Amino acid sequence: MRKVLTLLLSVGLVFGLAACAEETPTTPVAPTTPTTPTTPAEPASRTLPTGVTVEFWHSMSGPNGQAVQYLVDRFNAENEYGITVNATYQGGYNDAHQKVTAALVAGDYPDIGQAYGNNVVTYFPSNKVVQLDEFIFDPEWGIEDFEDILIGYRNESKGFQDGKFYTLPFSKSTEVLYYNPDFFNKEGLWADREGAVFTPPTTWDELETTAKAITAITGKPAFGYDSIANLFIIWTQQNGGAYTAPDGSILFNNFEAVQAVEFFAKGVREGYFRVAGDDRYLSGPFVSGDVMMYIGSTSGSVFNQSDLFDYGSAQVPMGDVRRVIQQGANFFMLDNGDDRKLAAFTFINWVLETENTVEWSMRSGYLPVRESSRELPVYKEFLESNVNPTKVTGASYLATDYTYDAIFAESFSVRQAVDVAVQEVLAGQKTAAQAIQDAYDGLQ
Amino acid sequence: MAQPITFATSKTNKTLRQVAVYLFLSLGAVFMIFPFYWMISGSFKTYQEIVTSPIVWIPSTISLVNYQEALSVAPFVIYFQNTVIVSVLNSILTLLTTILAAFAFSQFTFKGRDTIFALLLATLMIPSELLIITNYSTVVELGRWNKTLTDSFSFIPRVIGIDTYGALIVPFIASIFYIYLLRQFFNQIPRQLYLAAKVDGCSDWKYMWTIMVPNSINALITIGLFNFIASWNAYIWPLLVTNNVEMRVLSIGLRYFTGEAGSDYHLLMAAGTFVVMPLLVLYLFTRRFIIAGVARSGIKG
Repeated sequence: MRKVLTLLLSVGLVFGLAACAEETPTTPVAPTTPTTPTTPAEPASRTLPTGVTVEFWHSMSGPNGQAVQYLVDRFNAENEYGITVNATYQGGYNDAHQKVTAALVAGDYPDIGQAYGNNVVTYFPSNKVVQLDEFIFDPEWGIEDFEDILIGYRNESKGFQDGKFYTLPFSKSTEVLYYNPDFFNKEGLWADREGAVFTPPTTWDELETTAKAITAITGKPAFGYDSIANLFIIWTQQNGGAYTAPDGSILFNNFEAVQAVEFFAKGVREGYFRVAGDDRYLSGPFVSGDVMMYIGSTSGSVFNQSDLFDYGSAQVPMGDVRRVIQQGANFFMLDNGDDRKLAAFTFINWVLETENTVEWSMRSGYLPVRESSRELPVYKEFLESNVNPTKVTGASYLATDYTYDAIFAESFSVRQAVDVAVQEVLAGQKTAAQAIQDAYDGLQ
Repeated sequence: MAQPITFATSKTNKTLRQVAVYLFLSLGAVFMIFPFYWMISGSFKTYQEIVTSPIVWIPSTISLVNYQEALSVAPFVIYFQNTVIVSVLNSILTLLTTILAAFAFSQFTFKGRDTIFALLLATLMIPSELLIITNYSTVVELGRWNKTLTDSFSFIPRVIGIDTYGALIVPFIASIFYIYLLRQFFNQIPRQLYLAAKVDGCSDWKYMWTIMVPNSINALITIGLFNFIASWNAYIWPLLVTNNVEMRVLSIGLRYFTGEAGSDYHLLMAAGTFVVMPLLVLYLFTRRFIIAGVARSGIKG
């Protein structure tokens, strides 16, 4: 028995070590310096044979998934090259990321994917990620009026270490302040401000005063922020501080960040601010009338439908600097040969056309990616009809308001680190300065 | 086991003990039943009722609206068929390989038997997550060979590769854990029985099916059901090896109700209820065997 046990242990150890020595594919860790995929020399003029089929893996479920299928069906029916796009739902972003990782190893991967930039970075070592500059600026096949795409989206799409385009904007969202107008009007709290109509807080000070006033009535925290990481990133920058840079440098160990965290922590301590907690989203407490205001994603507006009131939305309160998060996933392309690359790009290009990005926005929870879409009569009408007030708010930000996480392989770990830091402060374990310094040291 | 230590002197004491035991068991029962109650009652609530606080315990109306809506979101009928096919075949094949292997390891003496068994047990230490990508590559590669063969000889069917039942079933039809479990069970059957059968001219094959298997029916049903549940609930693997909606399973369907900024809990609960119901029914019918099987093999699930 003893012999067997020894053998068993040693065998186990060998296996275990071998497994360690090999790759750990479930949580792929990209090299610190992503190797840039090589660009093969392309012929001067491209031609696309008819009837090319391309695979498109996405993470859009529910109504968003139906919106993807609608676009794909239309493209398949209308495009003059006989391209067939095969759209497949591959689970949430994390599931799809696992699947693409496995697919790249097995050599059986899609032509188009939908992901966040930091996931795309981890695909670089496969040398299959298509560098898009040559397509975007191609005189014949390129994107028409590329400058019309919001500058924040364009910058994010080339926010890689070599400054080249590897993604294009697709399911873009931002954050807004959701509020419960019924409560404000009923309590007559703001009768002194602009008549009897409530105007949502536009600055940090107003946010604090409003929240305190609400809490005095309800006895419950009045305001919450869905994403703690976004709170840190946005409020630090609104306060004039920096977060990270595309080369992977960590910049958030600054006074502005400490101030921002302290501002929120004070509210939580005194009971007028709160976090989502285990529910992860504040839409629940909001809908049931527990929380009167919260900052959440525009793509989550469907979860604010309450039987009790029609929610309102406003721009997030701003600090010294106007900043709001630009979030949501992007298209990326994988190399399955020249024909399929061109066909895949043709589809993306079509989705990015003003009418189509507007169509996408009206059917999904996302925002259109072009400046000109705001001028499109159909979209104007849609916004005025107030089917989804969030879209109006989302579209009301200035292009320069947007900020996004710099893209590098570890950018998600930085997000997690600042999230933990804020939680530690809220739990009273550390001071804001200490928690931020510790998070910074931990990432170095 | 569950029998309390006896030091009672009077009848009152005994009654008190009984009350305490039943109270404890009732508490346990409530604890176990609660998630099911929450799911089933949630399936009848509106979104408002489900997220509201204080908690709404009883839905205001009993209507099947959530079920209708949930069923319309994804092709659940196809998913259901696929899940049943995959889980049933998977369980049958797993039982087959488990019986054969456990029989060999418990009844035969051959060179290197213990070494091989130890090696097999050692593989239990490798977390299954590590094998996912390797398995995926294997399935894709086998699929390529299969396709080449099918292309040249049309009578060869496509059995493995992306979007095949083979890919969903075959990687999971051998389980070291179950082999170990059943081997222990087989080992409890007296060796004399085997020798006596041999003297009477019974073949190993016949002995296995007529003596060993019927005597281990509790363990086999337990293994079969555990495996069935695992197969029914599997998510990541079926997602990896299928692209075609026609080949997907129920667990993927449940994912449709969760977006990146929240979940439609009322629909999710409705879908959850009809996904779990078959398992519950199956469990109710087989629970006698499971309790016996679990008690005898010393495994607690």
